[in-house]
Amino acid sequence: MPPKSPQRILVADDEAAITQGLSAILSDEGYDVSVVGDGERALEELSTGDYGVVLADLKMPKVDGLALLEELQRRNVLTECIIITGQATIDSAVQAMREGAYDYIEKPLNAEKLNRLKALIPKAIEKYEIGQKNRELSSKLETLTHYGELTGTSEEMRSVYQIIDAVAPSNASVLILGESGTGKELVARAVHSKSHRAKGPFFALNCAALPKDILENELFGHEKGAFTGSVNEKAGAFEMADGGTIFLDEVAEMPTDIQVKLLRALESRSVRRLGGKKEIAVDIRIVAATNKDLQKALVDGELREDLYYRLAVVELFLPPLRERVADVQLLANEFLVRFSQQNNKQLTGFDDGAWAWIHAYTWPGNVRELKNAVERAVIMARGEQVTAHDIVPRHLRASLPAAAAGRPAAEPAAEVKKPAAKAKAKPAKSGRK
Amino acid sequence: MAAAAGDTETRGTPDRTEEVRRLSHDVKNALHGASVNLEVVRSRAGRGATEPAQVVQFLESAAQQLEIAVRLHKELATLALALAGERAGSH
Repeated sequence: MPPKSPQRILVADDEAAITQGLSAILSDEGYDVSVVGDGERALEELSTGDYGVVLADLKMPKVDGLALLEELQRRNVLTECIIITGQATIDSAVQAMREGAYDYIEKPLNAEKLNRLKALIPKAIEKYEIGQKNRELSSKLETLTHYGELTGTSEEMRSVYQIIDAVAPSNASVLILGESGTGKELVARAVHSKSHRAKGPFFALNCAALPKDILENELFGHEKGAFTGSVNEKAGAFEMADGGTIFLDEVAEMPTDIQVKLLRALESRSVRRLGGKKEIAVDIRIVAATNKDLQKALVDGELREDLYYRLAVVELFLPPLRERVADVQLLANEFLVRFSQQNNKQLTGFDDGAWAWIHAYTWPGNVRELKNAVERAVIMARGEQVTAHDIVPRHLRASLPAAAAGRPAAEPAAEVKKPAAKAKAKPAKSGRK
Repeated sequence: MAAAAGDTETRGTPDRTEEVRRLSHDVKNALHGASVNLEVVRSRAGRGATEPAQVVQFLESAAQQLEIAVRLHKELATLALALAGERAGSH
């Protein structure tokens, strides 16, 4: 039965007489047929176009039918492969079936076998279309629960996504505020990837992790001979991120004299390397982040007020995990799937005790802590499900019976109800890792 | 010397066996090409094709493939019979 709209079929065979005939037969059936002479070209064609079915000869130059099948699986290309084989290679055909071929047909293709092929193709296309719909649905589901690398469907995260959508196309500096482990760098990456700078570099620097001299050198670079041991010139982050975005994490930890240089670079849109004399024009966007109480940092003089106003053209508050409890289950499940795959474990989920503890705990280390806890639990799990014993950290295990019942002793469930304003006013400094 | 000749035969036989296998595969491929092209002709004739161009190309292609199949079949027969004779002689 001819399909409603022409479905695309790729014929991969090095025998021109065969491809010509097959192409004519399938075109007569109403299919849109393309032909390639070897497996390598088949892979190229399949990676650029949507083909419901591939008819591939088992014996082909460069990449044979079996290797083609393996590569299609590896690249996750959606198509159904029908292998055409000589009788001498029937074992390979069976192997092809095991590796995901839709079916195989033996040569020579007489009228009876061609009729079988004609009957197989609509069924293969039906399977392809089901796979296609599954992918579309998964993709839609993904957009409902994900935003770039960020995961979450809570109102709090939806607000974050809206702000990113609004600010990304502009050149405005963004200051991300949030506790350690909330995913500030992922937000910065989302701002970059949704901006017109997406094809440019994204350069991340942690201002707290580097000693003053190294941080200055990393930001602005140096000329040859600028200081003892500087035998070569070096471009800094501003030059390397030209046309892209620099992410300055923990910006309030930056020494104040470097803050002055940073402010100057932002205002003049140019930098001068250490030991250098010339100004180098740069086109960069700054996204900065801090987990500090900014009002206190400003009052204490740790963060210069003029730099703050320059960085915080748009302020984006990333909520701690305890304020987006609706996302905890989604995140836990996502990490479970990810780490189960990475560790070759066949885990089906969390048991009731584990869920009770996960929902009751306040996750002071935020998403990072949840991620690490699930990774550890996956590694430690002995059964099909992650139990409370697997996921509860050792230092909280003394209270496990209570935890399994839904109330960890170290972080009482009442903490979950802590008002958001209070949490914002006192970011958890101890939560940093 | 007899042992040396025997060694040559032992080495030569697998090569010729492989050649027989390859030729058989090529004959089958040519028949496959002929069959597919004839099926186009049969199918289009059944649909009431009126333009000769719709079938001529496939008739020619089928004829070429049949010629190839016959030529390869002769080579195959020569080689296969020679191989069988060698094996009979060595026993």
